[in-house]
This record gives sequence, C-alpha cells and structure tokens, in this order.
Amino acid sequence: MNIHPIHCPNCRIALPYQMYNTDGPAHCPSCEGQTKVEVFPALYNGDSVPYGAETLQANEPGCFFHPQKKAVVPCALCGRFLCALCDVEFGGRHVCPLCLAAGKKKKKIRDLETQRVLYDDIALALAIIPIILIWGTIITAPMSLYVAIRHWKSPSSIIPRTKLRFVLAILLSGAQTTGWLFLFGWLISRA
Amino acid sequence: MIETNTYTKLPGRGLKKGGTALIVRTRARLYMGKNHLLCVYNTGYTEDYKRFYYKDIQALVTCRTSRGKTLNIVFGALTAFHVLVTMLIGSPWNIISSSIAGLFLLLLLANIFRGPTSKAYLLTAVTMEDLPSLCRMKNALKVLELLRPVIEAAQGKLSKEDIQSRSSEIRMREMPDKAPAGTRPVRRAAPSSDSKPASSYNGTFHMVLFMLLLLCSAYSAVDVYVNHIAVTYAGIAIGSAAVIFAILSAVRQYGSAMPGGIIGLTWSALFYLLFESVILYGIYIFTGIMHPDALRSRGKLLMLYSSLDPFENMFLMGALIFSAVFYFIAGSAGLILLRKFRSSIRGV
Repeated sequence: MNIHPIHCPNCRIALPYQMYNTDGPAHCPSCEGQTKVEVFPALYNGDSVPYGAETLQANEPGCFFHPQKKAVVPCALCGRFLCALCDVEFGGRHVCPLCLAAGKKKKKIRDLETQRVLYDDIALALAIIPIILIWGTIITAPMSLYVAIRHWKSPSSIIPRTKLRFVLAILLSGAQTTGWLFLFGWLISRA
Repeated sequence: MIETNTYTKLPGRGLKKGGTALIVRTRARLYMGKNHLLCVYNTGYTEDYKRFYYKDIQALVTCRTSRGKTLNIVFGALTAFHVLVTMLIGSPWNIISSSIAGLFLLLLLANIFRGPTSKAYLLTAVTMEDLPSLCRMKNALKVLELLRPVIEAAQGKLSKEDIQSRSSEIRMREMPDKAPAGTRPVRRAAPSSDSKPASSYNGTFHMVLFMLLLLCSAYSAVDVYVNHIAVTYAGIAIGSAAVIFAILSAVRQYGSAMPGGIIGLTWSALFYLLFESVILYGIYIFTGIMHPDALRSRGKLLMLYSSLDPFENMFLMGALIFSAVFYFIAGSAGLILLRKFRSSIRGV
C-alpha cells in the first residue's frame, strides 16, 4: 500500500497519526500551530480497487471494444457494452472512453469542463471601467452591447447566476451609446 | 448536458498564490456538489474548475498561521505612525494623514474581525491541492465540519482505533528496524502538485537582507538629523546592497521550504525598496529642476540633494520616518521568523 504522509500546511513536517481525526485542533509538533487533520478511509484504500477485466465465458455478453472480455456495464450515453477496463465511472455514471472524449470535445459533459469564459463579467467590465477615461466609451460601449447580446444565451459560470450583469451592462452601455449619439447629433446640427 | 449538479457555497474566499497572481487576481472559492467538491478559481473574466469526488478525498488538513498577527502589527504600526504624523503636522495636510490613519485602522479592525489566518490543503491519491479560500481558521474549521459527513457518507467512517492500527501497520512495514513511529516526525517536503522537491536552502541571503533592512532603518533615522553628502553615499550603498540581496533572496526562496511570512516580507521589502528608490530619485530630479545651474554637475546636484533639511520639507520628513519604521519592522520580524525557521530545521 502506498500512502502519502500528512504534512502540516505551515511547516511541511510529516504529522504523527495521533493528530488524525481529533475532536478539536491539535498542536503541530514543529511549528506549534493549531492543526486539524481529517483523514478518511480512502487514505488506506489506495490499492484495494479491483483492476482488470474478466475473460469472456460461453453465452456471456462481450465488451464492444474488447470482444474477448466480459461486459459488466452498458455505457450510459451510447449503450455499448463495456468491460471493467473500458468502463469509466464519474458522477455516478458509467460511460465509454469514446463518449467521454466526444463529450469533453463538444462540452456536453459539464463535469469534464475545466474552464468557462464569463461573458457577463466581460460585458459589465467593458461598460464600467472605461468610464474613468470617458472617451474610451465611444468604442467600449458598443463592444459591451455586442458582447451582452451575442452571448446572452452562452453558458456562463457553472455556479448558477442571474442575467443581472448582462442587464446592467446593456443599460449602462446603452446609456453611453445614446449619450454619444446625442452629442454627435448636436455637434453636426451646430456645424 | 448529462450531469446536473446543484452547488452549495462554502464559507471562505481567498486569493490563489503563484503564477500571474501579482498581475491577475485569482480568487478562489469552494462549492459543495452532490458527489464532489468544486474548487472555483476566478480570474475576473474566466473561471477554472477543479473537482474532487468525495470518494477520492483522503484527507483535509488545516493549520493556523502567524500571517494574521503580522498583518495586525503592520496595520497597527502604520495607524500609529499616521496618527503621530497627524498630530505633528498642521492643517491642511493633517486631513490627508488622518484619513490614511483611518484607512489603516479599518484594515486592522477588519483583520481582527476575520480571525486568525490559516492554510489548508486537500489530499487525494494523486494530488495535493492547496485550498486558498480556507485562509481563515474560523472558516476552515467550519468547512471541515460541513464536509466530514458527506465524505463519510461516500467512504464510510474511520475510527480512531482503525487509524492507529493501520498507521502502525504501515509504518512498521516501511521501517521494520526502527521503533514504532508516530512519536518522532520525519521532516519531508510536502508533495506539491508539480512534484518538485523543496530545496535545502537555509536562508543565508534572507539573513543578510534583514540585517541590511535594519541598517536601512538606522540610516533613515540618521538622515533626518545629518544632512551630509557622506550619509547620502552611505544610503545609496546600503540601499543598493539591500535591493541586490532582496532579489537574490526572492530567487532562492522559490521552491524552498521557507514559511509564507518570510516570503511575504522579502517581497514587501523588495517592492518598498524599489518604490522608495523611485520616490527619492523623483526628489533628486525635482531638486535639479528647482536649481537648473546645478544640472551641469552631478556632484553639485547630489550635494544640493543631500543638503535638503527634512525639518523644512514635511514630505521628506514623512518619507524618512515611514522608511525607518517600515525597515525596522520588516528587518526585526524577518530575523525573528528566520530564527524560528532555522531552529525548526535543526530541531527535527
């Protein structure tokens, strides 16, 4: 069994197991800082997960990718039979490597997404920050409007949030654009 | 979408260190999902996600740090200094210094209110993830309490007897010739996410830097009373040496086991040294503009600059007093922390 030692986050010393799962914080033997260590069974179960796939016996369903191996579960997305080697479990579902790769590429599996662009924050920043320079808003206000309208339906943060930022960005940049239009109109009429 | 998760916001927020942290502020937060813990790193325009499934989490560790105390001392000293300046200088400048004093007082109160600081990380079989959002002990303990039942629901409970027997068994297997472990900890660098071992640097450059900072403090105090070119030359020499050692220390502390306090002090000292150099160079240039005839000779200009009397120039006086206080605090705090760090290396 190969386990990581638990280190103090402050002084990086390996902590004795007497400090694990204590009722209150204990003191680190080196830096004497209050330390709380919570360990879970996974710490000791590193090698206990069975690995490999059983060879196919007569009248048993075979794996789609390895026909000589016994199928243990169907893919939750495409329904192909999978052996223990091809079965990828995450989020309580069993999927095949192909569906997993396709899902990640097309961003269809939310649990595989590692980054999202926050268009609502970009639109709001474009509507607010350039106000400091005033003249910059001639360019940034229409940009903010474009980003807000173009990405109104684009997925935002994984953490649910409202469209408030988009609404504020549209209101602010709309007001700025209208102001500029009035100013230019007035200047042209004077000329 | 094949998976829909609802997330519950966990207490605590913090800034992720390293990389482009100085340019882009990466805010970190934790969210509790149905079957995983979600770490969200927000750069302002993008969000990066890291998921840790409850069944994979091996340990959650948090430790109280002294960063909060250091911040209290720094904010307290700055508040006191500005209160002193407010009392010494007359109107209308005292409005500015009293506002600055008020600002530092607010920061001090906010820091006290937020409670002691901490560091935390999460361990799985393949990674060790720092949790910057758990930078306050109060929040870290709260999060641990919230996460424990959900992780135990996914993995089962580990009793104290189980821990004892399994840890002893593993340690006996690893060190068959030695006495039962758990009594004497072994110093080892924590496995970082990029698997780089910590260097064995013991802080020699830092020691020189902190001593030079104390010297800078003494120089700033002397410069208030003595307006001689020799003092100016000495100041340039000490300041240049401090900048060089601050850069060397910043390079050497990268990847070492130095505590965060020393690392923070080194960066603060480097930034302040550079900032002060820019300010003093500005005063030097301003002196030249005020005396165009001295611009032809650099020596003459330096003479003029060194003859500036801080008692006649409140800005210069404020800058010198502030520098003396800052360098004294940074130098002495640095030496104390370094001594602690060195004894912890020697003691283990």
